[in-house]
Amino acid sequence: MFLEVKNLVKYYQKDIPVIKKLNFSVNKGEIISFLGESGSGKTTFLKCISGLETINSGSISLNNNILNDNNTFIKPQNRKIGFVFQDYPLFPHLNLIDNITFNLKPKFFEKIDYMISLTGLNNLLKRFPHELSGGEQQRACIARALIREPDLLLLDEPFSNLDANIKFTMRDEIYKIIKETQTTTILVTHDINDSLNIADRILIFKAGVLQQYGDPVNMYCEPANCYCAKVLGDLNQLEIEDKTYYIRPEKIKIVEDSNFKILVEKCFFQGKEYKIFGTLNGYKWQFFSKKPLNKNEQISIDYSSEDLIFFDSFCNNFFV
Amino acid sequence: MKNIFYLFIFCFFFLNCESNNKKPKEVNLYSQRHYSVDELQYKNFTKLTGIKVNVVKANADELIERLKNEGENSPADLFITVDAGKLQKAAEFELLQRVNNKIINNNVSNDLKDKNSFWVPITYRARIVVYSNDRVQKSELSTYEDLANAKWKNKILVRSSSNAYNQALMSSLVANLGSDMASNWSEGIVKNFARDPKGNDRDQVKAIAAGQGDLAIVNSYYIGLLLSSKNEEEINAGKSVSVFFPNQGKNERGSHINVSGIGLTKNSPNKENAIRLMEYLTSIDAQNTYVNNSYEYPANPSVKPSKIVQDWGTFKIDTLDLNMLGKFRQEAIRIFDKTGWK
Amino acid sequence: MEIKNKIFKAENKRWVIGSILFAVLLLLPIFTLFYKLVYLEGNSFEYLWKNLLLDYTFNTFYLIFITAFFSLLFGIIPAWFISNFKFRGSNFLDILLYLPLAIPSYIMAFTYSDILSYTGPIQSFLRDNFYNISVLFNQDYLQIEVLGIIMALALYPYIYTVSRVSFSLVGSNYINVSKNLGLSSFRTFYKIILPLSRPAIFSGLFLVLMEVLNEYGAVKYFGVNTYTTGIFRVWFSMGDVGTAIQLSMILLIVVFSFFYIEKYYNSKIKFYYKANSKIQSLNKLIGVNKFFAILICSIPFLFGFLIPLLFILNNVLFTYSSIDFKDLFKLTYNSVSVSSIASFLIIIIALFFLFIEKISKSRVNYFISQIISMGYAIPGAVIGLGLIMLFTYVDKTTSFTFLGTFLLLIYAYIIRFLAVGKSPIKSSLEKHPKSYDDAGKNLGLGPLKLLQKIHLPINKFALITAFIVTFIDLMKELPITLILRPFNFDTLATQTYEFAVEEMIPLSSIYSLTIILIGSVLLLILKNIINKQINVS
Repeated sequence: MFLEVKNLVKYYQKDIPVIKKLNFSVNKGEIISFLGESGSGKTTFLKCISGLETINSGSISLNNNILNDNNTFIKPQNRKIGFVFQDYPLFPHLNLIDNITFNLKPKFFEKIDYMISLTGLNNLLKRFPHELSGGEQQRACIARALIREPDLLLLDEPFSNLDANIKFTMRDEIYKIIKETQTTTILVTHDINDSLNIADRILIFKAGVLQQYGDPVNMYCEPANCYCAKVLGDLNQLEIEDKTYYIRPEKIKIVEDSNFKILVEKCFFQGKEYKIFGTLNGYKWQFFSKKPLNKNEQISIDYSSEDLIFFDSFCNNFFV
Repeated sequence: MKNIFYLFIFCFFFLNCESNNKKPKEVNLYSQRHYSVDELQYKNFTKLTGIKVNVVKANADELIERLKNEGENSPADLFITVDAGKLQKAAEFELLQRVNNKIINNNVSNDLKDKNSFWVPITYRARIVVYSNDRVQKSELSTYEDLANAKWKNKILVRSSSNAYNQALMSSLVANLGSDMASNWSEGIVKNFARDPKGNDRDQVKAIAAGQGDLAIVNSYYIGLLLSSKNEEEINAGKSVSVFFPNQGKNERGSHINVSGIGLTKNSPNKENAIRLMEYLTSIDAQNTYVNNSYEYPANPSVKPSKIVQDWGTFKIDTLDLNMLGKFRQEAIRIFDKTGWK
Repeated sequence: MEIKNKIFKAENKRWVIGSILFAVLLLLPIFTLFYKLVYLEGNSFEYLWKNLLLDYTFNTFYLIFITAFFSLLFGIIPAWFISNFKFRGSNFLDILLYLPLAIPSYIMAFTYSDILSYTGPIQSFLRDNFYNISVLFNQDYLQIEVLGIIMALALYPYIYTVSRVSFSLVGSNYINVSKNLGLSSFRTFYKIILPLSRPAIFSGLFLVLMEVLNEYGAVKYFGVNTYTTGIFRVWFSMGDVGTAIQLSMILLIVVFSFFYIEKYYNSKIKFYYKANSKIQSLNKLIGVNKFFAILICSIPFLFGFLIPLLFILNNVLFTYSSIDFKDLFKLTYNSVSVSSIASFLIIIIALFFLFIEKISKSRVNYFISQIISMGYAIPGAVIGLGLIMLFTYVDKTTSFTFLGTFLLLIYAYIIRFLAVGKSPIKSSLEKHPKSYDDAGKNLGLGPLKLLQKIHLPINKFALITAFIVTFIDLMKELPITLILRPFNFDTLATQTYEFAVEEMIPLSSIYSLTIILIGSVLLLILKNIINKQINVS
């Protein structure tokens, strides 16, 4: 357990906790994606770990050092944690290279060339932040964080400010950089695709509570509850013997004939297939088809029972 | 950056220290007067005696407050004002000490001296009436009291009652006529105002020239200053009026005057130097300098006023004890406030 | 189990207590006055009430009204033109319109009373050449209405500044939408831009009002009896400290009322409009419109700066032979050094308070920053009175003499102008994202290093701005200096005032000119800096 968080509680006002008794741990070299809605407390969580906020109870320890508990509080400037903030705050009065080497201990200076080429910033060293693009600023922030060989790297919504076209490239590059340096990383995001693409494990966070924590496949196929299921993908709902089951759209097969008939309402071309919206026994369903289907057509579908997902509690409100 | 910081700290203390420095031959004045003629006088004095003159210039009341607050630690040697009332106030607050110096006593006219020897007059001025040459006959004028007569309705120009010269005049009326009569007088004057009191004495004369009023109550030397101004317009304004000394009739008391005076402070640290300055300022040389520059009347009877002033003629002065100008000051201000003389 | 955060709280506590002590020091003069008020004899209030209060109140509010009206006029209209249109000379005018700030309001008053007087240049010229017209001009100009206009000429730059900034920021999106919906330029201005700019303009107006309430020299000269002149008169002429204190209290009540109205008003209007992300291209004005614009924008500059300056310059040349250069030099040295030292101290203290606000999240900070802002609102006369009362007592009970030292003078300056120095630095700090702080901490900097390596360099321009603005205000300062100045110490401001009051205006001109020149040069430098900043960010 490289990073251990035990019973972390954080609130700004007494009755309104932002984080309620969070317990989880991260292995060395893992990339964890912290997934949740805007305002769910993700950034607060990062600030607690980095020491920019104090916690109200619980403990945080990194690499066998206690960072924060009842008796200890290590100041943020003394923690070996790298933090890439959401707005890429490069200091405006310093150029790129000065930003990256800001307050850098001498022993790290020999790594500069390596880090620069790794992040692809070779010809930009003398430029000032306002002369760099969003992607370049972000890479600079990452370089600034990684050059100090942090025990833990925190990325706060790193892709939300990027244009769509470079977003995917950046995602891959960052993944490469992190894996190359074997840096343990927590990536906070609200976009599920980022998590699915680069995280080793995903932690779903809602209303201050950890909902589920596991690897992507596990999370997708066996969601702990409705919220988790919905976060990771769409669901179809059906009733069997008075119990409610759910099933992913891509698990639906179109067959010649079956007891389950869907009335087609809309058909959208998605590129590699068509996405079909329809109703089955009064429930709204989605599924995919290789060929286009016409409105008001009746289609028979089938599924495998092992693809059914069942929760203890009723999932009603998530089908709006 | 750090160096600039230290420089500032240094300057700060330096400035502070400078004010507490005590050099050997000097005399310290708290003075209300700061005409250029005064600078000249002090320069001449220093040339003559080698004694440096340090001056703090401020309003007389501020200076008195200051002297009161400073108490024994006050560095002031002499207190100079342009109003006998303020000298009396200082004496009353026990801020001055008596001076009985033969030279000074011989230099100064008896009419002007302080009975109690707390202060010494150096010049005097009369608060007179000036009238428009075009619109008023000299024969229409007589006394201060007459100014309250309804015949002067909308014709009188005078500055604000917050000014010490008016307050002194009112004090003299209270002393001579009593509170009630002075109050009635003030009411009458207010009804005769050509406009609300504003501006200074010279503004009143300019207003006569502009036709905004016919009479003004001003200090005598201002006419001298107007007539010798570099500004042609001001000379014209001065020429458009004539000087009238009120209360000159056989049984009348004479025109109200006020003095510029000098008192020796109770805790004067440089007493001898101070007395030497007082002797100098009342001497013939210095008195001549005064009359030729500020158009005031000399305290020294052997000295004649300037030619311009002499042309106005001689006049009977109100020999009221000038300390009364201070004693009745509060009452005077109360009357002003009560009768609406703003 | 709760973490007590013992270590964390204790360290911050030290700083917070320090800042509380400091804030108390700032409030001391007012406390003193309150204290004295309680122990006053009862009868003097009746005197005040019966004779003076009505007059002072009416005059004060009437003057405020007139000044406010005209400064809004002089400030908003040119700001509108220059923010939204491009025309020949608009950039030049933009700079020139700030210059009246270099002229203290009392100098503006003396100068105009001379210019307009019977023996002044206007009437003399008319009398010589157009006698019939000259009769019309032969009025008594020492009226409160004229004073209001004159003060508006001196103070409108406060409104101009905030309007200019606000009009430039209000998104061109809104203007475009408004036009698309059919509103004319004027109605767009009236219905959209003006309301959105209200908070900023209101703040500017508040500054104008505070200056009017503080004003001593101009009001005294024009014979207008306001609270401030009343305080001086009652205290000094009548020796009635009790009534002076009562008047001060009433004045403070008025001041604080305005202060809280402004705060309340601004808190209610909590909208954030989308600011212009790009510099918008301005419509070009041609022909008649161009001349009209140039004319309108030139008027405040002409009357608020050029004409007074020329008149003073003329006086200086006229009295050239009698100028005492040694005296001039000494006074300039006095003014500049005391203003520099005070400005420097103010900036350091402002940084101190801002630092505390940052590291400690307690509610105390809010109150302290309120207190600091209030210092600006308190008229100089009241501060002076309070300090004299306080230190008369202190001097009596200790063996030190504080009265008559620079310490007191600078103390009073700090109380009055701390808010002025703090404001530009604070807005600059707020403009920069909090993540600079977080990043700095994350990269290993402690709080002091954070200040040194990050905040000071980034906010360099704001610091210079704060220094210059404070410095100019201090150079112009009159009432506090009149009351508290030490032995043998005069400033350019006090000397100008005293000459003017002694009816020696031509002789005061060289001192006025020096103040104006120094102020103008600094204002031009400041404008240059501000322009550079806009380009960089």
